[in-house]
Amino acid sequence: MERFSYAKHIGFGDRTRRLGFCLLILLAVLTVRLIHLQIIFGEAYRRLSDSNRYRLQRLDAPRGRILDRNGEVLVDNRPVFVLSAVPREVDDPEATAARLAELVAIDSEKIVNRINRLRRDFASVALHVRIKEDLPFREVVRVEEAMTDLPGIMIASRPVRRYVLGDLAAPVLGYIGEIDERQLERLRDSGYYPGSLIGKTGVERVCEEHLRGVDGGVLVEVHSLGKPQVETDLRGRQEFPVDSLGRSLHTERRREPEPGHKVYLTIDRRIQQLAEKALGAATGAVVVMDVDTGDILALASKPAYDPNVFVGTGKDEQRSALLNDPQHPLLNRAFQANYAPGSTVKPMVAIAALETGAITRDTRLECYGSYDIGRRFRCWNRQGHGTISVVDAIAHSCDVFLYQLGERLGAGQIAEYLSMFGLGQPTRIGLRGENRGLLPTAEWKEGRFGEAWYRGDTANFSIGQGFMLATPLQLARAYAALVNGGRVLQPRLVHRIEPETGDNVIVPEMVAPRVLNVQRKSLETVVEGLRKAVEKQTYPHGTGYLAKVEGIDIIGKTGTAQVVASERTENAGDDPEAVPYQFRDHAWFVAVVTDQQPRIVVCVMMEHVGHGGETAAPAAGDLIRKIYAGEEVLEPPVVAESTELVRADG
Amino acid sequence: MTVRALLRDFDWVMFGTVAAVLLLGLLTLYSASRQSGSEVAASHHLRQAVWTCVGLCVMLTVVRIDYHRFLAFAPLLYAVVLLALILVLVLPSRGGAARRWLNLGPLHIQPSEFCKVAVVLLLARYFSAVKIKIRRPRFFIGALAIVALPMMLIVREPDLGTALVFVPVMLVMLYLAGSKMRHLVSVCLLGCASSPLLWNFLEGYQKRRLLAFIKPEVDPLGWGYQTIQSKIAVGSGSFLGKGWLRGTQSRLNFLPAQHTDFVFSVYSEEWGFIGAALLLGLFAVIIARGMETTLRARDFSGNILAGGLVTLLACHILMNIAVVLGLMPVTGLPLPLMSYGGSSLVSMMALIGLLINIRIRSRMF
Repeated sequence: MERFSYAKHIGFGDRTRRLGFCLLILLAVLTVRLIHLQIIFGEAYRRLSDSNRYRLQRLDAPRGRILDRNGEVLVDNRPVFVLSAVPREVDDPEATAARLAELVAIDSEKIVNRINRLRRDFASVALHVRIKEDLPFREVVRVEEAMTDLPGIMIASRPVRRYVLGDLAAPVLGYIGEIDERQLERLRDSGYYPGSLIGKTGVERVCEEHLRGVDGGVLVEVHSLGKPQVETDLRGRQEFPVDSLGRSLHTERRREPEPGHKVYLTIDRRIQQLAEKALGAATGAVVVMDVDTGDILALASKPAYDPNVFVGTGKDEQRSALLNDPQHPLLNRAFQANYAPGSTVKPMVAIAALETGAITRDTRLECYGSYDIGRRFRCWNRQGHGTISVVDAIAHSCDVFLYQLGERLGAGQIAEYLSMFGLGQPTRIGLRGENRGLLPTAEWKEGRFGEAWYRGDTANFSIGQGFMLATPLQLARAYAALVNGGRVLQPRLVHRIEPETGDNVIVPEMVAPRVLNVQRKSLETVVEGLRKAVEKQTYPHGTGYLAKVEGIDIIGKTGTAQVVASERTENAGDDPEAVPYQFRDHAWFVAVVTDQQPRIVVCVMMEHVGHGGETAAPAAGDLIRKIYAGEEVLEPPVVAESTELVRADG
Repeated sequence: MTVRALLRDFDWVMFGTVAAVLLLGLLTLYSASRQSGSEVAASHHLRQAVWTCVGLCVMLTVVRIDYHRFLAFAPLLYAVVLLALILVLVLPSRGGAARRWLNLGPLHIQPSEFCKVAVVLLLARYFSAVKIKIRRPRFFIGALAIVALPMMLIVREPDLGTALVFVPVMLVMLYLAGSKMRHLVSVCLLGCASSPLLWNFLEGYQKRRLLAFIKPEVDPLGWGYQTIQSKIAVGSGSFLGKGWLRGTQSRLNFLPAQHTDFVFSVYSEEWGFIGAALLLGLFAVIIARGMETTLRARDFSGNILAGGLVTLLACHILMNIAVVLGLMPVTGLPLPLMSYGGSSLVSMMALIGLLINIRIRSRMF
């Protein structure tokens, strides 16, 4: 050491020696422990290691339920018998699978492949490979009797997903399925294992973290010939008191699973059923949203499907059918599909005109049935509307009036105002696959078609035809903004999340709405037009007159989205049947109820049914009436099948 | 320093003991890989052999260069390691949630392993520069900061075990450097008091690991299982062990950890108490030798550097074996010189190299 030594000064030598002493003590502790394990209990451990194995029995957590805003259950779980294998213990996969196939209806080749594959995967600790779910009771009995021939095979009961009301709100709820490899790599440390179930679409996916719960487990001693027999008590608690030879088993360390949280949606089951019914046989979507909070009360899309199809095994054919169905039942038309909004954009274009001063409330313009912009653009009313103000233009959906507004504003300003109202942008409702719609611009057209922007394009734009595309959800939100003072809301689907027991309520963060810088009188003017569209029952009636309901103030707008512009469709007018289905126009009606609690916006979109005023409007009006009258859909809801336990056939 | 002088003063005891441990490690890995039946695992011992050679080269290189040079480069090394740790966090990884490695082609490097030695180097330099001022709060906290920075990065990976090993090493080094006991005690108390708060920052599986340990009935899937199987394996080795290559199949369920965290388990099953005690003895010799070097170093920077390195080594050995014997929750710390892993092996051998380095130069005045 140095001559003058800092080390000496602080007594480094002593400190070091003390440290050495501590380390020595710790080493001694380890040695003592070694003696304890190897010498004192060496025999016992030797026996344990020779004759016994511990199988880790996973206790699946019941997945969280999904309920509507009033607590009505939409998705829950039911108990089901599951046939599984522990690959490490299936010494002869081929023989075991063959024996199993004698007792139960399974695809033995697939099973053998799966077991062989997993026997090579080392990161899986004693996992259970599901062979067949929802075993009918008679098969359960057969397998239990043959247990001694089936090493590594076991039957357990576990909860399984049940979509209580069948296809109700299917696209919103989503469905669950087995986790795929990519997701598994990412999520392995979070407790997922090969074969675990995970939400694939919809709320099941978005709220996966809350719905999952936490799996439990128990270590069960296993002797070489016996199989632990699972006994499930009435509350679903699993025990393993004996094996198949009657030997009582030692279980170590048990942890009960924690059920997933309950997710309460903003959806109201009654309103959802009414909305789905309102579409009738048509394909399309209905959105019912609270104008003041953004809560989605109903989100319907037809055709729909029954998510129970995705639960369990053996339904591959049905699933394929769904995936390949040309009508795309898995598509959520409320926000994943977009359509030309047609006349439904007119109020927003009118707002643009009023705000920029292109017109005032009292400005009167002429409509004689057509307008000349290079070529002749027609109004739907061939005779023309005469000289009218903006209120009437909206009430009677005058195209020519809007063409003129379009000329004054230009496509750029129209796009600007429409986008303020949320068109052309995703609403971020939280479910995946949302379509953002399309607000065309000159650059866009140039890039897409290699053509310049024509005046006619602006004309089409101002009446919502041509290139523009929107989703029913976007329109609902835009119209809500017309009534709630210019607030473009964030649509909400999840109301709150609660644990099964306990009071830890989680409320999703409210996103502040975007407040539009629009004058109140512009909004009022436009709303007046929308009111007239519904209220004016005498000739010439407002285009939405069929939506009127006594005692409720409904404002609304019809829209007809042209699918194909041709002589045939233009003259179809009274007889939509004359036009082939896929060329028929789509019908829109967007309504807002202003004088009831809660105030709602209802957007109805029906594909290929012809004019909005004739089909979508009365459907919307009828729906609104039923909503506020507290009516229920009278047909009994489809309750998904329960387990076959009750049948005692042999 | 001439090669002859090097050879004369070389610490053959240390080197011999280390070589013995390395050999036992390779034998154990060979045995483990034979049983596992996996193609990847089967080559573990070969890869380890390659890394051993690399480690030996590194060690010999480290021995030749005066340790003061390393101390001089300590800040640079520290910065490089921090950068590597940040890269680990920031680069997208294939391995899913656990981001611990940087992929450089066929090589996987785990910066956190090198980080341990780098931190000890920087701390040693810091302490020898600061000396008595360590008694002042400001400088005391400075030392804490040096450690806290990489710790936070490592915890984010997430790799709680590795991050935690910094704590005892830091405390011991502070003690050896002459800190006031008062300061040390307050840090400890603060740590205990704030652990409920830190609990919230733990990831789910880390919480489960701890819970499995404290409340056995609460055993979460998988983690308590490893400890049980490990104890069975160790215990079943009894006095004489089952014999090399005869460890019972699947005691540890073919977990990759069998080659890393639980390698002592496999060893004890095969070599019994005799073997386990022998290995502990070898480790004890290495530590004792290291402690001797700590006392004998020719200047304070040598003292403190050696002290820190020995502590780092000892903490790994003690904590890893404690986990294997079921005395501690699973930490993920490797057993030095035996656990499979290139980064751990090379960094530990560099550590040994530094110790030998300090010892050699202690005879010169």
